Formats: sequence, structure tokens, C-alpha cells
Amino acid sequence: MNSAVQVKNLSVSYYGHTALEDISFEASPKQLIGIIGPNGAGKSTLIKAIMGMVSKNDGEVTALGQSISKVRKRIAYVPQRSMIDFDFPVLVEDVVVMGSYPHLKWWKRPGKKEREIALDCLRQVGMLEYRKRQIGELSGGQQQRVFLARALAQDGDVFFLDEPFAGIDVSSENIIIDLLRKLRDEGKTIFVVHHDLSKVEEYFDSLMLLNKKLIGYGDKAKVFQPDLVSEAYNGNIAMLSDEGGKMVVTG
Amino acid sequence: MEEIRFFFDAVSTYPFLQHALIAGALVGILCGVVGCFIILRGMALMGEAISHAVLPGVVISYMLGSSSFFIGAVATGALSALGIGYISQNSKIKDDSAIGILLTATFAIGIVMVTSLSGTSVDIWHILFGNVLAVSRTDLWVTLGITIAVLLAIILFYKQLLLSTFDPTMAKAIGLPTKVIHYILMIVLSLVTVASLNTVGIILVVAMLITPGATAYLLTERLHIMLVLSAFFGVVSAVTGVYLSYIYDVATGASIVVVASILFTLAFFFSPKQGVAIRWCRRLSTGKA
Repeated sequence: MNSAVQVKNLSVSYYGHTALEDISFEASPKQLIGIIGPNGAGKSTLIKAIMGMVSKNDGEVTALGQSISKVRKRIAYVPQRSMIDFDFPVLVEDVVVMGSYPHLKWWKRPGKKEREIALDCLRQVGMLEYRKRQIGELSGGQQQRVFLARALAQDGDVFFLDEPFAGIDVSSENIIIDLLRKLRDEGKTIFVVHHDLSKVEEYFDSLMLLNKKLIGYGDKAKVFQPDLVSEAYNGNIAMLSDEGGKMVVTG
Repeated sequence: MEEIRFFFDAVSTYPFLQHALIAGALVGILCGVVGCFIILRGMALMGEAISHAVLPGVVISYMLGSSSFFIGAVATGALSALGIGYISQNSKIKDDSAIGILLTATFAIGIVMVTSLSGTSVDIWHILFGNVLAVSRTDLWVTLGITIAVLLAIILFYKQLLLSTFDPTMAKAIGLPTKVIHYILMIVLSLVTVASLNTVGIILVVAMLITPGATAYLLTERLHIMLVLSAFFGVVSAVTGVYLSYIYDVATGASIVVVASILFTLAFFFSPKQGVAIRWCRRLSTGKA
């Protein structure tokens, strides 16, 4: 098994208009992959199509060498924060325990072991002391760390994170990226939907440039090039580079 | 105190009052528990629609002379849930408008059917507003059966319900059948409405679904506690409502709903964390008013 995720000729459309067109790529394990593109490029749709949450018109997806439905347990997903109702009556530790659900039999309840795993994962994201708080009482960055802890508790091999860095504080961002790097070093494959171009080079090993079609995919040095980025962003962006690195100008 | 003793005497003398109390308490538990999920899934309007859509089914069952009107009621309830989904997915009509259309359409069909049957034993007033004093022993058994089945299902599938309500995307990602859960909930809603027909009637059942759950929602931060509190408020409302209606000779279903609404008002102003009055006092005492 050499590829963590393999996608062949994937196409998705909603009500007749195309969301994704003929996407093919293969991701090897032990990588931190950024999915980059403008709003409406189909980044979230790509994740959802890979995980089988939206129906595809065409194409084939395998993960860990098998069809998705057989490996769901081993794929952890961190939703976009805006998709969650933070008034929901649920405590931080209850949320993290949900990470154990895929491993439990349908009639089985999370027990002591699952609670301990959850607390350990909360410790890793530095949120242990908040375990008895209602989820809405936290700041955006803290909420994001809790959802990452839930994904850790699931103990998967492939991770999908939808905009984990959107609107969060710097220290949370650092904690999250450090953890993602650690996971990568342990051999996991991590996909991160991201739309801030400024830290792309610092954060990721590989990049996927998306705008309904796959504009570029591969090593970040190869993909993060002015012409490709500009193509993905329909020319609304310019990249200036000098010896110190690249700078991105949006317009 | 005099009145309470009088009420207890009446309860021990008249089986119809005993039935009314038991039916009320069961409906309080049933609606309270199911209502929590309705509130958290943002489906209050859907609950209203399904409870109204049950009417034609009930009338058809009466017409066919069937003593149990469950099948008819569940059929029209479920059909309208499907109809609402179908309209909003296949046109640019949004969910709330689709609900508005189907709610009134099914209800109107039901009324037309009832009025075409004038001279029969179908009493529209009782279906719409309940007739708790006419609860039969069979009705009680049926309500008890539904309550036990629903409670068992919630206990058994608690984690699936929690996850698919809190984070439907992750629920889908790990392979939970979120659509099936949605439609099962719709069928449960029709069952709950039928079970509540005698106690509060079609028009007010939505209050029993939403109000105790909303009261509990203001008082707790964990779902299982919300479920217990909501059932408790449902029972308190039902029992107090039956008591008030007997003592003051007023409509039972409406009294139950009035009590539930008073409980909600108290929680709204005085809930320790969320209460409007409490927050206001806190602001005054910290000088930030």
C-alpha cells in the first residue's frame, strides 16, 4: 500500500453546474498537504466527495488501498467551525469522546477507556483544564483545538481538516500546526483546506491548487509558482519573489 | 389546600381522571424527550407541519371504521415530511415555504374531509384541541407502548442521535445514515402527535414538543440532562394542567400548555446562566448597566 488516498477522474456537480471537474491525484503517506484555491473553488466539496458525503458524477476514490466505505473509521474529519451550532448542550470532553464513536459497536456506549483517551487528546491540544466547559464558552481557536482533539481521539491514518486556521488566535494556530507536523512524522496523511496564501510554504509539504479543476499538485516548491497560483485565482493575485522568499499580493 | 384534597378525592373516585393524568404524564415524557431533538435540529416548524399533516390520516382511519388511527396518521405524517423534502430539493422553494404549503394543504384536506362527514361521530373539536376526559384504556396502552418504544430507541441510539444532531457532517463522514435518522424522526413525530391527540390535540401538540424542551435547554449544558429535565417539565405541565382544568372547569389541553409556558417564562428570566433577569442583575451589581 503505497498511496494513502488515490483519486481518479473525479467529477461532482450540483444542480447542473460543475463543482469539480476531472480531478486525479495520488497522495503518499507521511505528508501535510494544503488544498488551496479561491472561494467557491470546490475545496470543501473535494474533501466531502473523497469521503463519500456528496455523490460524485464520475470517478473513483480509494483510501489506504480500499474503497472509502471500508476504511471510514481510519479517516478523521475536522469540520469547518461555521458548520457547528455552538449553543448545543455539550461539554468539551463530550465532543472529544465522539472521536471514539467510529470504533464502538452500534449499541455500545463510550466507557472509561474512551474517556481516558479523550482526556489525553485534550491534554495534547492544551485544553484539558477546559474539559467541563460548554463548547460555546471557548474562543474560536480553542474550539478548533477541541475538534482537532476529537480527530486525534479517532486515531485515524488520514486526516481532513476544513479551514482549521480560519479566524483563530496565533497561539492556537501554532499548537495546531505543531500537532499536525507531529502526526505527519508519525506517518499520517493530512489534508488541510486553507485559503490564506501567506503561510502556505511554511506549513505544508505538498500543495494542491484547485479551482474546479486541478491546477497543480505536488511538491510545494513546484506548485507554489506565480503562474499557477495566478491561474487558480483567476488572475486576481500576484506573487512577487526575491531572495528572502515569495510575497503574495491579492487584488 | 381544600381544592387539592377535592382533586385527590375526585381522582380516586373517577377512572376518567386517572386516565387523564396517566395519559398526560406519558405525553409529557414522550413530547418532552422527542422535542429536545426537534429543537436542537432546528425543526420546530417541521414539528408543527407534521402534527397538522396527521389530520387527514386520522379522518381516513375514522371513515374506514378503524379503531386505531395510527397507521393512517403515520402515513400522512410521513408523506408530508417526504413532500416537504421533495419540494425544497426539486425547486427553488425554500424549506420554510415548503413547510408552510404542506402544513396548510394537509390540514385543509383534513378539515374538508371532516366536514363532509357531518352527522357522524367524528368530532373535529376533539381532534384539534383534545378531549383528555375521553381517554380510554386502549388509548392508554397505545400511548404507553409508543412511549416505551421511543425511550428505548433513544437510549439505544443515544450516541448516534447526539452526533448526527450536533455535527451532521462528521456523522456522515463516519458512515451514519443521517437521512434515515431524519425520516425516522419524522415518523416518530407523527406517532407522538397521534399519542397526544386526546391530551392536547393537534393544534397544541407542538407546544408540548417545543416548550418543555426549550425550558430545559435554558437550564443545562448537557444533552442527557436536557432530555430528563424536558420530560420532567412535560409531566409537571400535564399534571398541573389537568388539575387546573378540573378545578376551574376550563379546557385541559390549553391549561397544560399554559402551565408549560409559565415554566418557560420562569426559566427565561431566572435561569442561573441564561436568565435575562439574572444577567440584568449581574450587570447592575457590577456597575456596567
